[in-house]
Amino acid sequence: VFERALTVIDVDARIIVLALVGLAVALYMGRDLTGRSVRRHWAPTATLGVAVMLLVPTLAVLVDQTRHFVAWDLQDAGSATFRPPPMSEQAVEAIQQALGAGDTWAVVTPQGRCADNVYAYYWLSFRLVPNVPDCDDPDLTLLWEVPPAPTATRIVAGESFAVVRE
Amino acid sequence: MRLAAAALATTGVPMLVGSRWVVGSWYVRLSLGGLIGVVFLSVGSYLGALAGVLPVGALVGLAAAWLIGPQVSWAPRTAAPSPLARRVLSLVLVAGGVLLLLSLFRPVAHWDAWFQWSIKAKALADAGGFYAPVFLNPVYEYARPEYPPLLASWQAVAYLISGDLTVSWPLQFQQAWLWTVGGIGLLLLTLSHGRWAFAMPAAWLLSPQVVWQSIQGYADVPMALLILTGTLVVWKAPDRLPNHVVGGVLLAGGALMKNEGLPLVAVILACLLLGRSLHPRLLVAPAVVLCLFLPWLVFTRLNQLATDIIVERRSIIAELGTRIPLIAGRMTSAMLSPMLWGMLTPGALATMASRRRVDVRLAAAAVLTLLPFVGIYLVTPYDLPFHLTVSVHRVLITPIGLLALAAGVSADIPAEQAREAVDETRS
Repeated sequence: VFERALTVIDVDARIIVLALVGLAVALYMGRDLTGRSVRRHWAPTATLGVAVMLLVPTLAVLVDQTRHFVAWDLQDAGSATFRPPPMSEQAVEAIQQALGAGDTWAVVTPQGRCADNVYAYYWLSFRLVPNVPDCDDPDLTLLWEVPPAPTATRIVAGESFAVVRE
Repeated sequence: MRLAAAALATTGVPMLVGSRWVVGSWYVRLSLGGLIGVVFLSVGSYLGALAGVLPVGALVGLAAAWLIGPQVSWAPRTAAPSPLARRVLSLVLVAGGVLLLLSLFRPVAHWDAWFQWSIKAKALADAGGFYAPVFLNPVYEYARPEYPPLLASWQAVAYLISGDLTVSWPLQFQQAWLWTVGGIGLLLLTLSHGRWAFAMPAAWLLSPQVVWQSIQGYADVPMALLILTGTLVVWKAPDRLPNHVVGGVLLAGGALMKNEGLPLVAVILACLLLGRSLHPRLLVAPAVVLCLFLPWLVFTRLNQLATDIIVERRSIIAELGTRIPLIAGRMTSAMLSPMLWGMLTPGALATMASRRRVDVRLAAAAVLTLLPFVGIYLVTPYDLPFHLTVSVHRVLITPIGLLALAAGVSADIPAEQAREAVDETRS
């Protein structure tokens, strides 16, 4: 994930084509530069030209990223690394509606409880502010892709999730 | 409708208020005024939040900017842009337009954005102040509650106005707007230093790393824009008091934006001010920075919010032999990465070498601002390769921006000198 996060531009055929479009934009912008001016200022000219060239593929990757968020119907939190959200919006909405003012919560996923699945825990923490997580003694627990214990009181349930009082 | 109002009220309104600080053409007033206005709105929100009354603080901040601006009456030196510079400014506007459009369809995108920065904006909007669990409950220690709060304070105003804690696009709109307005302001400031002085800063602004990071929800690009603009303002006219006031405000905004902000600003101010003839005005910018940062320092001390970097006193001498090469290698590799920076670093060095002119103060600032990061990586309690992997590409945004400024002002003789040369030829 982090390696992917560092890669602003993955080089593939489409990116190369977009970079060529960027190069055309750069050449058009510098169309009235004289040969003498370019020779005298070759370093800033080349540096700016390359930046303009790379701007087009960079914007294209941001468009891809935004389309990814739209496809998943994400409005609050996403992941810049094109990862799917860690749980469904229905699950988030269910626990948001179940939590009262001052109620605490925990999340359990197949990876374990709370920070055992850092992505899901931090992501859900952001979604559930101002309700505070309490992984030891929560008022409500969101079970994601985990069956409820027989002793738990089911508050609401849906596809792949249940909100329970443990 | 309220979401749009939230986005516009936290960008357009401070831009109009901040424009009262700047004397000049409308685009100079709006771009540079936009940065000043955002700092006042955000600082007002943060000081208000310390008192538990964030909305009142935001309004007082704007009112203060409105009243103080005309008294400062700052007239930045700019020059008419060359045709190429005009085209680049137009390209920044087009790219900014694309970012603003994309921001309407984006959530808070990146890891640090939701587990560190924007979660505080939500908490501030909900509680109206810093006395909320996200800042004081140890369960949120991962969100680094001690990190400076300016970005969160600015974004909290948008959450408050929108009345909705579940849709985040106004935050992305704020960041895209800041890239556009702040970037144009930065480039306009460079125009008086020659026809080519804008080229390197423009290459920095348009580089993949800066454009990409501008709407991921991180604080790196906002901090860099404020620090670079503030640096240029103080550097351009150290003999003029308004420059120290405006530069101090912008640098204070940078210092309050991220945890490394204050050390970076301290290094930059030392580079810009040391060695000049002693005069009380040289104390203005550092005093503004300290006055605005001090309340946060007191809050973090009173609530025992400690840094995550220095967690224990231990000797690192035995590790220097392995750590220094790793840090130097990763930093150099990140600075030279064409996928992050195009050819900015070699281009900037080649510009200074080919012109045989280097502004020592800006170049020193670019080099010395690397030192705080080297220090952090030397003492980090985190696994060093992991820490470098997740951060080194971002933390270099400001030092590389300073390098671009240093190379930019070396690229050509300043416009004033060029005019003088022409006049001498005519006479």
